[in-house]
Amino acid sequence: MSEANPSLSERIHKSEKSHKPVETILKTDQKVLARITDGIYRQPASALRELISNAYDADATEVIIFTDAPRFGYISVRDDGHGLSPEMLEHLVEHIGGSAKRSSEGIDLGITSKDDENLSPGGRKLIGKLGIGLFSVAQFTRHFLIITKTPKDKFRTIADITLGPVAGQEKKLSVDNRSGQQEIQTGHARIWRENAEDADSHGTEIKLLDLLPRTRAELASADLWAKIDFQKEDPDSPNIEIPRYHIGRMKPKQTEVLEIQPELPWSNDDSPKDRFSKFVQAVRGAIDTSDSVDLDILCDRYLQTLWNLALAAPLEYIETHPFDLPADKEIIFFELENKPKGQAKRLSIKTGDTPRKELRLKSPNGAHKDSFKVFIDGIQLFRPIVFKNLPKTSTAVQTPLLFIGSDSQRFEKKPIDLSGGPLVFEAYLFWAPKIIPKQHQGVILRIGNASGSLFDKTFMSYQVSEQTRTRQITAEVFVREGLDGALNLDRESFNFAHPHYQYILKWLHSALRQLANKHKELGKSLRTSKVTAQGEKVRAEVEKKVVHSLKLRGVDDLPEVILIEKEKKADTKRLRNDGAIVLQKDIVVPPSNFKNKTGAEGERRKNAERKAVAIAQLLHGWGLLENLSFDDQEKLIRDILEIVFLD
Amino acid sequence: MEPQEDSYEDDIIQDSIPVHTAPPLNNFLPWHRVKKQYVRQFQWGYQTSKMIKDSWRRLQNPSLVWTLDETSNEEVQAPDNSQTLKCLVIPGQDLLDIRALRQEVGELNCYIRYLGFNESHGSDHRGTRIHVANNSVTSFSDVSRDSLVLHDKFESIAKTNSQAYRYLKECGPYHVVNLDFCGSVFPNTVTSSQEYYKALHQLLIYQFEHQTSEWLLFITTRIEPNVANDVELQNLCRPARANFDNHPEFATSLEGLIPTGVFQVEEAVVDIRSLDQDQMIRMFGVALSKWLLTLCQSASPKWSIALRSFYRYSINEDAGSEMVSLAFEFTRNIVRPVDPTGMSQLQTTMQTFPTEMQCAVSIAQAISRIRNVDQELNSDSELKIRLRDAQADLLQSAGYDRDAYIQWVNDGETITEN
Ligand SMILES: Nc1ncnc2c1ncn2[C@@H]1O[C@H](COP(=O)(O)OP(=O)(O)OP(=O)(O)O)[C@@H](O)[C@H]1O
Ligand SMILES: [Mg+2]
Repeated sequence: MSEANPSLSERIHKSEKSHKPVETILKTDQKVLARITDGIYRQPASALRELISNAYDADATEVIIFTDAPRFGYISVRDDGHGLSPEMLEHLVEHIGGSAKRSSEGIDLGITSKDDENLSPGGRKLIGKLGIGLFSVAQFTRHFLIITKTPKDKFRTIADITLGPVAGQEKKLSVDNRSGQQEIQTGHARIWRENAEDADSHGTEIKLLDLLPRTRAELASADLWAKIDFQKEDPDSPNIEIPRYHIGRMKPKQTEVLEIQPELPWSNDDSPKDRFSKFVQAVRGAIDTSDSVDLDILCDRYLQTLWNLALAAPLEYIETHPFDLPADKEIIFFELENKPKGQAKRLSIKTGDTPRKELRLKSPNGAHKDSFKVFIDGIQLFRPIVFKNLPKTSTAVQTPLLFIGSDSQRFEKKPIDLSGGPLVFEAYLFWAPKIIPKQHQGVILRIGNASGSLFDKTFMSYQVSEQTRTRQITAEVFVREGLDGALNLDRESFNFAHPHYQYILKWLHSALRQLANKHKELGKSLRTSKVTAQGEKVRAEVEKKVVHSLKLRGVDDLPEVILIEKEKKADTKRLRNDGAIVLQKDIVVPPSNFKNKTGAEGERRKNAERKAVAIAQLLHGWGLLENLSFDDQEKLIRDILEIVFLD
Repeated sequence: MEPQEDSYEDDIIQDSIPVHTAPPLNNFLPWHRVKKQYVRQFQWGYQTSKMIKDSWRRLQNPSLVWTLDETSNEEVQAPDNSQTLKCLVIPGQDLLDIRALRQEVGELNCYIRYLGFNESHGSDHRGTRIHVANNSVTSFSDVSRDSLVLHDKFESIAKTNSQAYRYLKECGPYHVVNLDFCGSVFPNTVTSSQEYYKALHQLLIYQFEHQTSEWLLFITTRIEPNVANDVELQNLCRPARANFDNHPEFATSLEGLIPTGVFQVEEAVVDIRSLDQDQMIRMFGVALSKWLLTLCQSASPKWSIALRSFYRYSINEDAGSEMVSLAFEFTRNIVRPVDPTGMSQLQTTMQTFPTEMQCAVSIAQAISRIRNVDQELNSDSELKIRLRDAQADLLQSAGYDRDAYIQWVNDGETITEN
């Protein structure tokens, strides 16, 4: 770069000595991307999710977020990642929408691993790829600071950024002197460097200042409180209750005091992890007082935001990863088959082993040991999905079922441009009588370990009408390779037409079918054994009754009654000689009265047989059989029985 | 954030588009003066490290007890695991106080976590300075990264439904509370000091309920004899008066420091406003300390209080006023159970705590030992240079131009309005 026209990063370096900030305008590579800084994301939580993702990509081990809730005066997101060098910062402000991640440029800048541009320098699968995520902060504010430092740098770099037209100027097109290209100014940055004594420290802090009133209102559940206020004025209005858990409410138009104090499921003394644990417990515990748990009713927007971030971010599970669940009686494991007409197989796992070991599963990180922690306002987030100690219900199948599968498609026979390259994923479908909270019904597609979307409760438009069962399933797909191309700009939805999306859709629908089949099968056999148990109880009752009646008549010894099969008829005489009452079974209990031998019918038949024996014993005890021929004995008992079983 | 007018627009559109201001890196302000560094180092830093070392000494030798007297400052073996030092501060925009404290206790294997109150709004250049300073201070490995500066005034803690009070609870209890007030705790006729007293009272309530170990309270305020508020000062003097009447020892220790009439009778015979500056400063020191002592003694369990050091220094721009810095140490009077019957043969050390009177007398003695920072600096030019350089280092780490600072000090520390 010539002396006369130094690059932005050269100018930033110079500010070390001059103490003069460098002024520059933000440039986007394409016109359409200028819209990004106006906000394409739907919710404020999306912006926090993007900032957490950036920290993850920067190999941070810890992200500390402060929101000043419920006031939301400013928000700070702080990580201990590799930070941004002036060169990275230059790329950032001059190439909005042109991420250096996943490109050789990223390797040069030190943003990606030297060996694989899809990985972070530390070996994480990168979440970022577009170069717009950071600008999702436009959801929150038009003014933010980036304070950042790379390891060993003796300076920290500060960028003070405003978005949108600067002080009265209209957003305008300008022509870049160097490239001659038309560009759109989407904001203004003032960047400077300051001495840093802490040469070893590193990381980035994004401070969101002057939060937009609309966003603050949204984060503070203003609409909810407004409805509650309205209700006080108008007793006839629909009844809206204050959520059980909330972060409190500022006095309207005030920034100092709260009108309503927070109601939180944890206390000040709890550790950051315990706080989240108690939050999860509270949500799950809410099932004790209602039939289903709806986060929307139970919690205010702030707590929902925490929950949703916990679902989205690449975090550890609050208890265990489903692949690491131990083989015990609490869960039944199945392995899914990858054929269109496949059938799930029951997995028998040795005690002490896990599905991960048995099926050689790699999600989330394979062999790569990694730790990534996120704290918001003193609460440590974890993935709030739990697989154990579920509430009891009255359904036939009580034990939760965990279906696990994986697939790897190279699409070798198709052109890579059309297939989008290889697709590799692992997944589980977890069936339980109740999914708590109900927001967990559905499927989440995770690329790597992160996700932008919440649970898709249509299961990627599963058409089979299985209303009840699909409400009992939580599923996650961990995509280890591919699908990235199907992600829409906002990272919250997918391009359905993408072959990877379509492939996973087919796989998932097959998995759902396999789950349904197994679940039905289990249900049936469980229902049968339930009937058996009931039948046995009836038969025992019958026996008691007979013994009791005969005792009153002074008969202590029960005669032996044998219902003999047609084939064994030859034995009849010998048995009678031995003193038994022998009746031909197919005459006393005709098979035509009972359709089949299995299930409830089978039970009815067994009961009939037991009752036939009982009737014979009673009649014998009363001395009423002696005068009858063997044939008549059989007919009489059959007739009585038929009256008993008449409904 | 001012309370907004009641209109729909305000909830939708902000008042103005924020503009950036370049951060001043060579624009020096009153708290950059060398005398402030003197206070930081010799009062705040020294007292903090002494409190920590004293607690170690007592830990190692259970027969040692907390005392009102000056204890030795000899070296003592640090415990193996590091301790968290929780601080409540009203920091300036550079967080120099925390930076200085960090250096002081750094060798003591302490880890600092602070909660700061600074009203400055987040968006102007002062706000930006605080954000950057907070980032840089918390980047040190011995400072907790979740330390916070809230955009509230300290006085807000008086209200238990305030955001400030919520965070007070979240981050406490504190070992060091450093209240470097921008306004004046000295009762005056220009601004109300009532909010400060409410907040101090609330702070003590919170600390007394939650803190079990010793803790320090530093109070820095301006004293303006020209605008003294007689009525309020009379009120503040009431606890001191009670001692004066009942305990000749207390009265004697104040002899020559303050005209006896001030504390002598229920209705003061001396018009407080007629005191000269020196008398006014001492009188305020006694009155404030005694007011705190009254709160300590009215609590259950009681707390003892010692005035560990009392500094004064001039405000260059305003010859009529002085600044004072007071360092108090509190300890809870927890007496261990004693078995007078001899049934239990357990060896225990009898623990006694100073009486109200002893505390009061000790306060009076501490007042008489007031240190004039200006004099100390004027009489010791080497010391002045040492402190100047120490502060230059701190300022450099806060992003300032070191050479420009030294030049500024050498040129007489004049403040240029920006
Ligand atoms: N916390 C951070 N630490 C280090 N560098 C960061 C951080 N946040 C952002 N960056 C840098 O800023 C660039 C832009 O971030 P941004 O989120 O806008 O895009 P991206 O992550 O590259 O892609 P995407 O739009 O898909 O998220 C990143 O490529 C990265 O170099
Ligand atoms: Mg990103």
